[in-house]
Amino acid sequence: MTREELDRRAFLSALGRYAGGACVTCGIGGLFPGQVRAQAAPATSREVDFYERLPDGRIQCGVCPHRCTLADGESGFCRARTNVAGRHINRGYNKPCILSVDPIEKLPLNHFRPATKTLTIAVGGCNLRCLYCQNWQHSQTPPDEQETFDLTPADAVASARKKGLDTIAFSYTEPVAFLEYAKDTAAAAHRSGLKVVVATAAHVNPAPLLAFAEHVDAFTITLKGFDEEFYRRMCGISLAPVLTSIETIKHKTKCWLELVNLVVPTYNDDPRRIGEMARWIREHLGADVPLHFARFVPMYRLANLPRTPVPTLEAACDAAREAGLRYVYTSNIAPHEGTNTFCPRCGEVLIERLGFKILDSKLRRGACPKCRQKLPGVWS
Amino acid sequence: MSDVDFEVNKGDLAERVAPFDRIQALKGEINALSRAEGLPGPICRFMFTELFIDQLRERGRQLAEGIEPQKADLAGGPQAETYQPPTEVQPSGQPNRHDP
Repeated sequence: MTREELDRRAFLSALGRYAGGACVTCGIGGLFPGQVRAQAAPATSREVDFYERLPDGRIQCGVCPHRCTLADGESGFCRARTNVAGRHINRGYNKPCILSVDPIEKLPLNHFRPATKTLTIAVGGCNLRCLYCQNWQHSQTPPDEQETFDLTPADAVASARKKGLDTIAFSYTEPVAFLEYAKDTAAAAHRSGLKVVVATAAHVNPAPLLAFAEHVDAFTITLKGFDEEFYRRMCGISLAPVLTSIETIKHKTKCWLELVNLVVPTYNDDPRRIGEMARWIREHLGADVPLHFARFVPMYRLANLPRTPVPTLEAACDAAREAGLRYVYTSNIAPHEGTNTFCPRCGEVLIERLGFKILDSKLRRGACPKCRQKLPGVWS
Repeated sequence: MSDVDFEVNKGDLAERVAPFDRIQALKGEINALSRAEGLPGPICRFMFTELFIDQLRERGRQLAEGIEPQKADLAGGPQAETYQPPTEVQPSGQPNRHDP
């Protein structure tokens, strides 16, 4: 093997195997914590739909732009997919770590069937490394190394039906890390007449995204910032694929789309940059795509920062409105008038919210009762 | 009940087994009586604490002296949802029991 062929991952992998062998010789044991036995694919797993086998025996994942190249026994950046004896396996299948009944506004989705509740499902793992992750205990742990439920896609649909819920949501962690389970569950939900909504950072390749979107009714996409440096430093990914995914959903699917930007003090709270982001949204997606500015809560590796000051969120909203967006919201803050839906023509309060709760809705068939202005969204 | 059933229904179960909250039950009635008798409402009662009165006094003083009033920075201070009224300390050193 030449120097060019031996990358860091291959070197560490080889080192691990030699050391493992040495441990066996010494009678200590052959596996490191988290290392997967190549021959034993757990029953709670499913083969990944998008990957290819490389000539050197490794496999290359095709789900997200990381395109991890994995030797036998190695797991990808998402911590959920592993090369098991040449087959690319998602280890979180049927193993959600979070089940919750939530208002749809929590996703957040303000223009998609307001006041309905969702059965929200999350599986461990994530293909991002956000320093301020609000659910890092689950997202930054492999799916089979945390407490989980046994829940097949059919069981998820049955649970939602039994509870009287007509929507299944994938949120809390990153659905791209459990795309196989989310897709099968979404397909089962659609067959049963349930709606499916998804909150994601959209760091995913177009083909898997489009295959998944066939079974999805609405997406909430977190656009974490609008510069490459922020995405690289804070989230460990690149901005361009996220923008591509957002445009793909808007222009190549029929899914309803809303965007979220979590405003982290001193990192992505510059109103000029926010204005730039809003102008991109208006030009590439249209002025009717709702944009939520969510308040940052000190968490994970940014626990030293304060909560986002309310004036900062208000300045972000002003910048987005000035750029031409019609539906701009604040999120994670209550009470605040930025959580209400206003008529863009006459300024009437159409949906009054307190946090995730709807206090009053004046919408009549998706239109303002005063000036008859139609509001974009799915209202029934 | 399976783990999944419990997780999906725990909100309803919590409501069912929650102890009766007398204050919550009487809150509406108390507020209605307050309104009828012209007494201050809950927001007014919250605002008329020494925290805000000090701010108002300061602002009044600045106005009297013709100084442009400075906007108070309350974002980093106590918030309505977390504000606890100060507890008076008895001579014995034991704090008074605070009845909300």
